[in-house]
Amino acid sequence: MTIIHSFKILFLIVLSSGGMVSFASSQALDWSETTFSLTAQWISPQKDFGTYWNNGPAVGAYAGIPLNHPISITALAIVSWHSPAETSRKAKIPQVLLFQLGGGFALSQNLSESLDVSFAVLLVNNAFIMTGPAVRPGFENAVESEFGISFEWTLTMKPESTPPLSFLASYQPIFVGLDPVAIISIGLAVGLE
Amino acid sequence: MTFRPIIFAVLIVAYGEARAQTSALEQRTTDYLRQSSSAVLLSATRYVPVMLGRGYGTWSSPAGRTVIDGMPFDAFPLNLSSPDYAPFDLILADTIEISQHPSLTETGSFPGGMITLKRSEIPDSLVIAGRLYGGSETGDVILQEYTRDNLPFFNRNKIGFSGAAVISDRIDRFAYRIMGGGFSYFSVGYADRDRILIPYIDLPTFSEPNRNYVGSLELEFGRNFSVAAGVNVFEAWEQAPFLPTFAFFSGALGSVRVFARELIPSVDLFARRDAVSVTMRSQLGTDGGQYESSVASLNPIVRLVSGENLKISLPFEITAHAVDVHDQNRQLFDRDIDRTTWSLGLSADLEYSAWQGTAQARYEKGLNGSFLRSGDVKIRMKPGVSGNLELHLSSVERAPSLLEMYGTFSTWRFRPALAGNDTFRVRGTSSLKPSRSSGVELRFEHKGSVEFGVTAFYSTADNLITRRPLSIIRSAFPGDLVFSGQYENVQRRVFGGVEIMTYLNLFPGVLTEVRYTYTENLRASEIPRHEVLLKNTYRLATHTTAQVSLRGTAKTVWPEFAVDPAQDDKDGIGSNGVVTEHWSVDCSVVQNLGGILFGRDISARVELQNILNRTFRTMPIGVTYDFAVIGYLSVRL
Repeated sequence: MTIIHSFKILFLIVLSSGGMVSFASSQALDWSETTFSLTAQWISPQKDFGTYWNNGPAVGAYAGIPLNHPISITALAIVSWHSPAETSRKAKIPQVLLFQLGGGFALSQNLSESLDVSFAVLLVNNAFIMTGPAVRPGFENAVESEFGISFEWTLTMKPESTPPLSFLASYQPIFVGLDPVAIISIGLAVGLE
Repeated sequence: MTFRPIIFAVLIVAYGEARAQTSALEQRTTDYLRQSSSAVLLSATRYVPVMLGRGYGTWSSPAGRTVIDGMPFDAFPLNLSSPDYAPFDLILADTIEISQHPSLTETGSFPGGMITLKRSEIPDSLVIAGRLYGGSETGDVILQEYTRDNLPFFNRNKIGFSGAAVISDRIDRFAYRIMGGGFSYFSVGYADRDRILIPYIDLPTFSEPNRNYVGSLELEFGRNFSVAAGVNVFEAWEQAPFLPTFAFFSGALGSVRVFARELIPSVDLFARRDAVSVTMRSQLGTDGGQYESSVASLNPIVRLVSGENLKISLPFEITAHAVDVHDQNRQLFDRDIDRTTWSLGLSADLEYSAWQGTAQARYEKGLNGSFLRSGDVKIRMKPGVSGNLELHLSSVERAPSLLEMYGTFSTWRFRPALAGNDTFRVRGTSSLKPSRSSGVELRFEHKGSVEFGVTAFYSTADNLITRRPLSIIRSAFPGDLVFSGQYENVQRRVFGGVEIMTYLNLFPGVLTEVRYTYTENLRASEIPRHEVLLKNTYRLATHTTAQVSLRGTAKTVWPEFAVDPAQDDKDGIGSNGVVTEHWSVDCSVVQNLGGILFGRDISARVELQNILNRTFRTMPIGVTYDFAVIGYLSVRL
């Protein structure tokens, strides 16, 4: 594809994106409307990360603040644990504590009075903390981080008598070299009133 | 569907307003220029523009002479003509402008255009402000270090925590401003693609970033007398324009400027001293070198006529240039040099009804002893309330620089074909003739409910001074391009084209900026034929804006860096010196946080550069650009 063809496509995409994001009114941030939720997830590493490391449990928290309906700012902090998988290199593979810290924007839609769906795009910093005897000498418990972009889908139920309950699923490419890896997450979140 | 009708259509239906991004939420001056103008900053490394797309310079004689406080700054190390190496920071800036046209001012000549750094006025009350940023490109081999064998240990490009702070106050007629800042970035390249850098880096240097420490002091004594001083301490791995290889160099540069307006009736006096000390470290195949150079200038301007509609002035300048080296020094410069140059000018401004004109002439003695003649005419008229038409004609002559005349550099590489080392030298030529840059530029701008501008330009460069490669190879180890060369006057370069820009407000809360430049680059193949910038700014909420921009550049050809396959000791395939077309998409979100604790005006910005992670570089040599994430914070107390 020549640069002119690429330009034409991207020009139209970026130009038309203006129409997708137009606002009837603008508001300032109201910090008092900040919401928090706790989450438990199951994280499945993909590509090299999935070949040499196992799926692992995760816990964490979300925060959100309405920005300008239907957009809100969302942030997450999630930690997960991944042990080496059964491969021929197992003895050379350290355990990984993966700490995700991210923020981004969510677009939500009310399906009914008690049911919401949302889609979020978050920029996530993934800190890989390597532990165990296989860690490269001199780098025990060293923290090395890399960015990823997470695409997250959420279905939230809002019962009158109990806190909101969300079902989450996300896919996050992580831009480590030489070839990017990814993680798939599924889980639950409980809102804090 | 073609590209042209789209631009034409949006020009017709457009309406909007111009708006600039807050400069404190950018990295360095060059980053600000990249974001806010259509200039293509061509660079071998990250933040060092050595050539502008239209302000024709060469790889060895950079375009875009930097101007601070109305006077040129002339103490860049090794021709690294980057405002990022000036004693200045964005936190001081009122405006930063690029002129890509040959031009004259009362204080200098600018054959390849100029980058003007204008300070903001010192506020009337005590102000303390700061800015901070840091970030990273993606791609560390975090996991593959364990999953693959024999992977070389390397780091990727990062931007260390950087920032600047300023304090200022005005007490009656006295005012002061003190600024300090520190900037760091890794420039170690990529082991799998940028072999030019990695092998040079020894273990102690490996984890050290490039650094700049910048400081400045300004004092004002009433309206007519002021002093500004600044310093920039640096250490960096860079492909400096004069050198045929990457080099680690360090040193310090400084500047002192004095302004005395109406020193005696109708006479202003500007004075400056710019100086730099450079040390290049010995490295693989290359001996180190060291030199100091300085420029001291007195610039009285006699105001002959200071009427409302007519102003005539006579600028005069006398400048002392000096290079000092140690007796054993054989790199960069091998001798002391002292030169004195002078210039005499005539400047006239005429304003009549809707017409405004500026004419300047300059006669000067250059560094090589030749006498130079330059002229510059600018005519502006307002055909309507919202229209502005400008015609700019100029012809500027430039003498060869001291590096182009007397510079010297040598390095060696192992050549398998020779079963030994081969030495590569770059030499200056003392008999160079002056070069002349001429151009005509016609610009129409319309502001109001519809805002757009169209600029047509045509430029020539005669007797252009550039480095003719005598031989160029790709080395067996480390795989870098190394060459011998000699400075020469070369045949005429010609190029011309048209630039279109517009601001649109097609949707509520969305501002669109479009810029497109077409350049017919006859014998100037380093200038891209097509450049495009499309930027959408979204007002998400009262204090939240987001921006998505697309930037693209057509291919360029660099004959100077073409390698014959027989001279490619590494792969045997050679290089055609072509940089393929590239485009990138950048995103950012700016959030004004208001007042928190002691801060009364806090803004944060997250920027995603090259979000589609398309690998590109702007020159045949140098590092590549990948997806990067950078965070910014600015605070005003």
